[in-house]
Amino acid sequence: MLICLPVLAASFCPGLKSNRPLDRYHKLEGFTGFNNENMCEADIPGKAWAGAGPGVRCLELRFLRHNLRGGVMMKHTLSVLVENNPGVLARVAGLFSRRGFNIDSLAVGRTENPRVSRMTIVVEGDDFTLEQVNKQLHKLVDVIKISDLTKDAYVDRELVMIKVFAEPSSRAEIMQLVDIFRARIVDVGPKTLTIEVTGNSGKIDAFELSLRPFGIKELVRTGKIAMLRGYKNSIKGNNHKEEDVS
Amino acid sequence: MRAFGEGAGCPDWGNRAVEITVAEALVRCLEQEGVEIVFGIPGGAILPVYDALRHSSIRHILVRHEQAAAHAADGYARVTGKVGVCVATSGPGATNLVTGIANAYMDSVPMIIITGQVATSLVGTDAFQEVDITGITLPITKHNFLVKDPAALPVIVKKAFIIASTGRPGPVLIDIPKDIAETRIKFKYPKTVELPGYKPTYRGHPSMVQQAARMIMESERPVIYAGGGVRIANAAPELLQLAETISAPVTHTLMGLGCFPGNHPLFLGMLGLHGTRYANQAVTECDCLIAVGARFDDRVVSKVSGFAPTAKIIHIDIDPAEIGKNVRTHLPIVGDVKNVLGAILPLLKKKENAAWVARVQQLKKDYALRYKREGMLKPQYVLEKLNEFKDDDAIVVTDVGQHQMWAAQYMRFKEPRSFLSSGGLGAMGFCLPAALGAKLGAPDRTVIVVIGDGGIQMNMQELGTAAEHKLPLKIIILNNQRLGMVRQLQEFYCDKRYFAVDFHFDLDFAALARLYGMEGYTVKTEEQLLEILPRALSSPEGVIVNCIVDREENVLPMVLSGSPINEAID
Repeated sequence: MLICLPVLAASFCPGLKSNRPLDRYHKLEGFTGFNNENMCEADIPGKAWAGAGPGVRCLELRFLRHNLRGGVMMKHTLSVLVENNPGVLARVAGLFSRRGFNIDSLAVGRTENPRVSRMTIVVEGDDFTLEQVNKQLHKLVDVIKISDLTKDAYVDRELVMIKVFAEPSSRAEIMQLVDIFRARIVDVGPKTLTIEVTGNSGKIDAFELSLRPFGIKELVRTGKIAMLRGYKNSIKGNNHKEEDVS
Repeated sequence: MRAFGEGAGCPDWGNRAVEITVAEALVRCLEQEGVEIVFGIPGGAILPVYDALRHSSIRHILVRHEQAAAHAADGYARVTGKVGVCVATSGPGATNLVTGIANAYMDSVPMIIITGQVATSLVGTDAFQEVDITGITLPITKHNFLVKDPAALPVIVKKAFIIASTGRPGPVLIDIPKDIAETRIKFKYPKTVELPGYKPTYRGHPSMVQQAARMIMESERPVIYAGGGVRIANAAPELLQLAETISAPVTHTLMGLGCFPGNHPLFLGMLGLHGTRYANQAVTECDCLIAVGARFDDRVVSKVSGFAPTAKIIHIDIDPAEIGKNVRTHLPIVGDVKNVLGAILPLLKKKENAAWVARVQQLKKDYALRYKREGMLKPQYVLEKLNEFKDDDAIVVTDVGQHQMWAAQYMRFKEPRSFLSSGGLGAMGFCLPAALGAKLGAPDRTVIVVIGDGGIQMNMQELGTAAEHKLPLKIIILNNQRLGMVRQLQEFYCDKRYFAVDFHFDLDFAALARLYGMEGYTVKTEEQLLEILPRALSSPEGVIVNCIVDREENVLPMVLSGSPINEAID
């Protein structure tokens, strides 16, 4: 089972919509396109995509944004091991909505142990929010362990299927793009091609962007799943759950 | 990993594998957990459980409304420290419990709630009296279970009791479909169960403990801020020892009342919105605030930036999620309050803080609680006198509203578990049923109900339960014929535009008392009060004393919303 919730692009920070002094947004590593000293919310490049249709998310340009508390807003990928009990998804999802945490995406599936499932949750927030997310998740009895992968090197993947309009005149060009992105065509219709592609968010965003001129009929995207690089398990340490009770 | 409950010493007879129904198994489980009383109301879906309960040694108290069952189990648990148990049927029975469950959750009360559910074949079909109670109670229980596998019931009950009573306690709900309850299983009550995701921290981190001791010894103006965690952890003796060793004045939350002797020179009374001005001032001036089993509730903190601005805050709590949630903490210690205080105490040396203690004593003199004794009978006077006349070990149960705050301000307690009140949820209607549970939990102690005329009418039907079981409750009604606290809020926040706060019907509560076979008195003056009160408290019967008090009286001091706690209206 894979579940993906659409992003609510920074909509919880209404106070930032003004032309505040621009120190609120700091450029992050790797991105060089925007240097506007007066950048405000509407100028975040991703924002332009927010209205582009269902499933289309803000581009993950790595800006450091500050929330009203002054904390730095960051995206975190949490790997959460849960007991595979009925209702566990409702417990986790309910916790996020009830405590006002923002889920970017949530993917659930069972692990090598059928009694245990892993949830990969992408959540945006400052350090304070992340601490609360972590602690509140820990309070759920079904939650076994939590690990914030963002602190380490990790591999993350999403899967997307895109049904794109493909008139005979444009097919060749689309298939070229499919090649470049190492995507695959999984269905051919009289007027459309259905393409699957896996990769990290950046690659998928870029692929989607390049198909957009042809007209995207339908798009479905999974939540992110992730794993630590190297020998280490994604779940390590035991955070607050350190002591046995007798 | 050691499993839970090892060596709990369960009697052997229950562990022979015999074939009985799930309902019977449930009752056996409750017996093995030492449950003596359950509160509830039967109904269609819970019939099998009641059928099994008939043959049990467990006493069932038939209340008049399910909400009262939950509150009564809550009151019972608060007084005894044991797990309270309540039972209701599916649908409306279960939804009626909801307020009581939320109340127990907010105040961290260990409770097991058992609800019937429609048969598994009907679940999800909007069947008669079907409601998704595990869904509804998801945010207000520590955990809940829907029993789908009959054989799993004993394990679920064991888990439920462990989760409810350990770590930060809370309510746990078990929902049992009717057909499951009738299924026969081989019964064996497990001695241990595995809960891989549940490992509360009991011992404080040694380096944190050492740092805390250093911070405490370095402080010149320490204040201890004690909450309900002290009661839950039975840490009152350690708290007293800490306060006396470092000469730190002790302020408490509503839940913490009784955890520190009220007649002690270091006792500061309650802090926060309606706290004493000297407690709030002391917190504002202190250089080290030791929060013990308290959670910096918004009713305590008010304006965050104005709360203890000069203090280093040490926060001791068993729930890591409470640390840093509302207020920045300089030193967090996650662990059981009793254990952590026990670890800190040997590291401390006696110190006097003479200047600080003198300053606090001066504050207590300057900012003493006061009210004008003129005109009509004053509610504060009633409570002062009640405090004077009551037994030392009496249990006072309050409802929610003005009378609750006055009781917290004017009444003094020596022991924890002597003052019960709905704190976090602030649920009117809590008092009367909780008092039932308290009296059943502590039959030898006087149980005094301090309640408003609004609150008593929210669960008044329980007078019938009290009468039936001959529970002599001493009910003191502070009757102002209105919802006094709401009126006060309208005075301050709505510019005195009073609306929907007056009861335009003068109910004769003394006559009502006689209907239920209790003694009933009406008191309008101080002289009458002084005559009636001792008589009411010493009578073996249940009593209602209907005190007609000043309708315009406000709870003061009062910190207005958005102000720091040291800027109160007095």
